[in-house]
Amino acid sequence: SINVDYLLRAHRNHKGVSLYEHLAMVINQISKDAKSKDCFENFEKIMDFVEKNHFKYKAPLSDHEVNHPRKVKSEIHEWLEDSIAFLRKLPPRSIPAPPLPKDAKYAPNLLLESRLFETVGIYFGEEETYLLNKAMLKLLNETNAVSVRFWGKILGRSRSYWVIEGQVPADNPDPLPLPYERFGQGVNALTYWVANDVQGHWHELPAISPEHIKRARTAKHIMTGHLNAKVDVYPPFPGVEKHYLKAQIVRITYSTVIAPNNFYKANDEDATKIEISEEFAMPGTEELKSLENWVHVHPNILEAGRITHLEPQVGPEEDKDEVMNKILTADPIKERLRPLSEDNPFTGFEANWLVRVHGDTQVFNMADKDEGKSTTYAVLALRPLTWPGACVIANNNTWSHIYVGYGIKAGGLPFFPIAPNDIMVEGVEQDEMPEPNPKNPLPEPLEPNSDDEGKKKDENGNVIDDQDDA
Amino acid sequence: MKLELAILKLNESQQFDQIVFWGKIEGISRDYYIVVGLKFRQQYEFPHKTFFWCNEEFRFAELPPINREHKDKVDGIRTLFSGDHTKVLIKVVDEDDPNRPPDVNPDQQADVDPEKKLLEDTDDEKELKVTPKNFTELDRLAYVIRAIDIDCSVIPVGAFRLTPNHELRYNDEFRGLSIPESENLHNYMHFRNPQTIEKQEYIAREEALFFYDFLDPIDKDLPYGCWALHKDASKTIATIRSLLWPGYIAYHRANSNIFGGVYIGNGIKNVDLPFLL
Repeated sequence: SINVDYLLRAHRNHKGVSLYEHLAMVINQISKDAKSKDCFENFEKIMDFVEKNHFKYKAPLSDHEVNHPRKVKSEIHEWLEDSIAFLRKLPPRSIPAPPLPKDAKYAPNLLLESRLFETVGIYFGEEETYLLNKAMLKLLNETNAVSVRFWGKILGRSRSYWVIEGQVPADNPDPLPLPYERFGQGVNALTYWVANDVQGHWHELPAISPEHIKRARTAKHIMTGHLNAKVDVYPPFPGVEKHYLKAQIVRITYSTVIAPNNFYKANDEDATKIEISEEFAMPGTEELKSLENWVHVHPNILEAGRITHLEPQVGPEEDKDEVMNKILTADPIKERLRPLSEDNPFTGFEANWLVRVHGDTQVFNMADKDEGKSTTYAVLALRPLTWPGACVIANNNTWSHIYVGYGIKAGGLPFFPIAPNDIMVEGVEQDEMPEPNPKNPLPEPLEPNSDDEGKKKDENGNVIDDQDDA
Repeated sequence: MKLELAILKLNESQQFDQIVFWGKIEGISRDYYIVVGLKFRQQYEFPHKTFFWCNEEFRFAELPPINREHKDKVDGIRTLFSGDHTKVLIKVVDEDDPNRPPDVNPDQQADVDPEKKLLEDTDDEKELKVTPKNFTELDRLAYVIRAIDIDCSVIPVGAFRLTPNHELRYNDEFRGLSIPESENLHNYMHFRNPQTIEKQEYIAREEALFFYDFLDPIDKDLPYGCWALHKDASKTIATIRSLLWPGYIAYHRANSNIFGGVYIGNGIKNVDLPFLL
């Protein structure tokens, strides 16, 4: 049953008058007018009249309340506080600074580089770029990083990741279990910090194993933006979103970071290492348009998910070198510093990279010390087709990399999910046999007695003798 | 700046209530800039949209209507736009064309003759047959732009209202969604002729005049989860990104009447989306 009294008192109009009070006043008004015969016809008018002319006394604000109004926190209050704290001057280092190697701490001037990216069409806005620069300086201040660079942004479903790449010196890292490559080497050579908000906390991504890379190759997934979210793919991914994110970032970096020819040269002693060569002249825009003048900087990631092969574990009969050779022919380590023109061309295109010139292509003659040479202020954009979203820009002074995208490799063909394995055939079911117990030997199955045919039998074949009443 | 001038020039020659920069489709060698002209007045229920395209020379031309014949094949084309709008994507071989180049393969010569014989029988039907047009990149552009416009084009609830004449108008009273409201995908609608039966009946019943949510909401779009709503750090600006057409972004600033949407991308639909979510 509905409590009418409660209902009437609960409904209030915007002036705070409850329905109960209102009806009471209307009836009061009618009772005053008892002699008039038009009460019913004029009912609506009376109701309206009462509503409009009702006066409710509200105590005026006291002196104290007017002079000291209560502060109501605005909706953006928290963000304001965070931003102000973020932009404060950096405190002195809390952990001791790492010893500076020959090339001291380096963070690029993002504001200058972002102007180049703006010409190509990738721009986060002046404010955001300044905040990113500040975040990079903070990372240098607070961690062991020797140099940092803005890697890019990975877009996600509910949040996105800003990614900063850094070089952390790897003396005495914690040992990782074997298939993992050592921290500071191989796929774990560079460290990555991610954040959802530039001003927020930057999380360092963990080291990854070859298994993560192998499974990330088959998984096609848009990230949600939460680092510990499950990666729901088939075949299942052994890890959570932060591992998948790191695997994709490493794959993208190792495929798309390039340098002009002759900037790096192979180390004299160890062909797998490279160093910056002393004689290097930045080629002009015309030369840079050709893909032969660009080389890959990082080694290729093997099918096994590492940079170098593990020492194979061989049986006593096998020759270790032979096994190693077999592994190498199946999964070769490519030469370092290979030019872009040798990359497998993307389906339907001649090469794997798109080259486009943006901006002012007018050729100018240089003055003063560079007399005789010509230059243009155009910006060259190189985009790989296998990783849409990555971009390398170059002009006559410098070059720089960035990635903005969902972290998905382009295939050309539509995605086909991998079929699960065949269901195994069930084994033949064996008949149940009673447990053999030497103390109670099994009764031997008696031959069916012809007398017993019409009688009931229990499960062992013994005749149920229900005529026995004793 | 050249874009602005070209848009103003367009405004001179044609009378639109509003011209909006729709977006940019990036190709290999060149990009296409698209603007759309909206005519609200005297249009029943939904403004008429006319699309114009141009490349970097900024001379706008009207986008041709969709070539219905090859409509189904377009979804299968997943390569980038080249930038050359005359590039032929699907070549149609006209059997009645006397200038048709002979088949190159000599082994097939024997097959050609019986085919020709058949064609001669259908001589009287020749005049009725419409010469099929080659499917150029411009046609693909026309199809892709209209597909994106139908699937995307997001506006916040309350930005438009229906007048008693069933014209769509900007709502001058629109104060914007509040901060918590702008985080909910249900408060955004498609700026297109309502396609769900529910909304069409709503309009037919004349209730749409008093409420603002008479267009299709975006949270019912399939595949579920194809819209990504992000708030910026201060929580006042909401950006909605489409995962089906990567490159479409709609934005709205809470508590203000600033909203809009733009597509900047390569014009390829992300058909793998159901597998990625």
